[in-house]
Amino acid sequence: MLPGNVVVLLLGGAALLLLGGIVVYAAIAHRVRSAKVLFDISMLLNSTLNRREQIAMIMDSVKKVLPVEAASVLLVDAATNELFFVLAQGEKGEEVQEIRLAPGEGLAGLVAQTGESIIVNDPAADSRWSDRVSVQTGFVTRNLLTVPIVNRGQVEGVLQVINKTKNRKFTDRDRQLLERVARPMAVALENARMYEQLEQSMKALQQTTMIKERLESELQIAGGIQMSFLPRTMPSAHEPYDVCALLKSAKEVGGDFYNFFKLDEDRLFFTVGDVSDKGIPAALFMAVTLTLIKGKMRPDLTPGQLLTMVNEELGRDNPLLFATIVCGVFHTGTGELVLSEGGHCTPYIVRANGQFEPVRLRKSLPLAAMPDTVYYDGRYVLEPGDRIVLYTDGITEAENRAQEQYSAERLQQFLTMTPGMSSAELIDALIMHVYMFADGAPQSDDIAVLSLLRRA
Amino acid sequence: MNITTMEHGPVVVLAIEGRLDGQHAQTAEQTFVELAQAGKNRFVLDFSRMAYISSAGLRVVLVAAKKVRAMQGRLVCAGMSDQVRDVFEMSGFLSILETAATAEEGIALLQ
Repeated sequence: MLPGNVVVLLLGGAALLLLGGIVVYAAIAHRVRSAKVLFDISMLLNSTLNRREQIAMIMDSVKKVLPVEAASVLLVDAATNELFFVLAQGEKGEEVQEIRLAPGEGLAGLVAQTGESIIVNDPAADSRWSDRVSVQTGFVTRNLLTVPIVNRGQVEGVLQVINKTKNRKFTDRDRQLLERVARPMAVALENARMYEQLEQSMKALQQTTMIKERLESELQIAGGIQMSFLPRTMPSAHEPYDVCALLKSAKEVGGDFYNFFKLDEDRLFFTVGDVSDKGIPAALFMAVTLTLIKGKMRPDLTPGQLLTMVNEELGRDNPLLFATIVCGVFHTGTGELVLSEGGHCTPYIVRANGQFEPVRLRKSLPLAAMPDTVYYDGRYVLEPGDRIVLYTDGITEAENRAQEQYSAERLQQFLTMTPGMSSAELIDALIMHVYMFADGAPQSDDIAVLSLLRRA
Repeated sequence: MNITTMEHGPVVVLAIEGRLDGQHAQTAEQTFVELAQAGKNRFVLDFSRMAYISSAGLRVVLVAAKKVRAMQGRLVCAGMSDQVRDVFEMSGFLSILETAATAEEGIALLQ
């Protein structure tokens, strides 16, 4: 049997050991739990890329090891340097979310500026603590622990926990834990931000693609509508003339145009024109111009008179565009041609023997260029076998890769080869000639050609 | 395409270098409009280094001519190469535009 005091000693020693063991165990257990928390956080982060969800998950994990009454995550607004709440847990969470802190305001602001964590266990006595949030929400702050969220050397936000439970004070170990938690939080924020940007880019791309597709289909429709303005049927083979025309736009809708129609038994009206610019505005202007021409032309009007009237109408609303034009009336019995022009390239008469003659009309301004413009008439005669060719500068200014132009000279050379061709054949051949010259360079301007042959 | 603006007293000289085509017409028009809004109404368009003008370019010149007329000012087209002159002649614009062989002559015309 042991003496009493030895027993006490032994018991005391055992108790001490036990206590010591418990303390050590507690410390280790805490360390293990902290490590587990960090591990859990990193696992959770992989499960969602939503920023708010990630942050909430992080805070929930933190509170298991560091029980507090309230927790907030604030981020720095890159534009204004204010801090705004991205998460606010605790009974006053909803109200707190609305508040924005000015740069440097309160503990959060200070931590954001210095990048150094702060523990405040007695806020009332600490001049750095701002009571604004507390007063606004009516929340009693007993103590706070604030750590910065740092990413690549920049403070991106602040993590703040308030009122450690059971009236305990925040310790340095708490600070270390929270600082460690702030690191994966920074990475999570960055990933979430990049993901958000990616999502936005994808949405923008989708929208743009949708708009582009809609525009393309509208352009095709507009092109179809535009083509419907042009005469589709060519007069039949028993007429004493052969007229054919072609329009080739550089884009889906263009500004060049042609038209021809019979005014009466003996008279054929024809025209070729070129609206300045291309695309939809030119196409609209072209449609209006053609409609005016078709509406106003009568057998008793000369081409010059028609253009004078049309110009007055077109110019009335001071449009931003103008249209060069040549138009004429062909008398099918006599072969007489009356022509008028406004700023357009010189038409050619090609005689039956292949000789070409530039049709030098008295020049006037394009339609709608200036109000009160007067248009003049010129008179010519087509003998049997002769033809007149009208075109737009898309032909003469067609460029090859060396930026050389097809030019009037090449056109004249081509025309000498055309006796015997029908109008359709001539146009086909001309287009081919221009294409071969361009040798793959893209068509940069609209092309229109019209050939009127008095049958031999 | 490059546009350089120089003032000789009340006359503004716009020197256009390069190609005045659909791609660049917008810039040219913008430059002119800004000057007109600033109250300038005597212009010399110096085409001596302009390689090429398209119908879109002609449109800019026409817009300028119209504006100048509305402001009771004057516009001179100077230094046109043969090719450019042909384009202006074909478009019928020559009849409504004042021309000069060089920018200096143009400035003198407007004094």
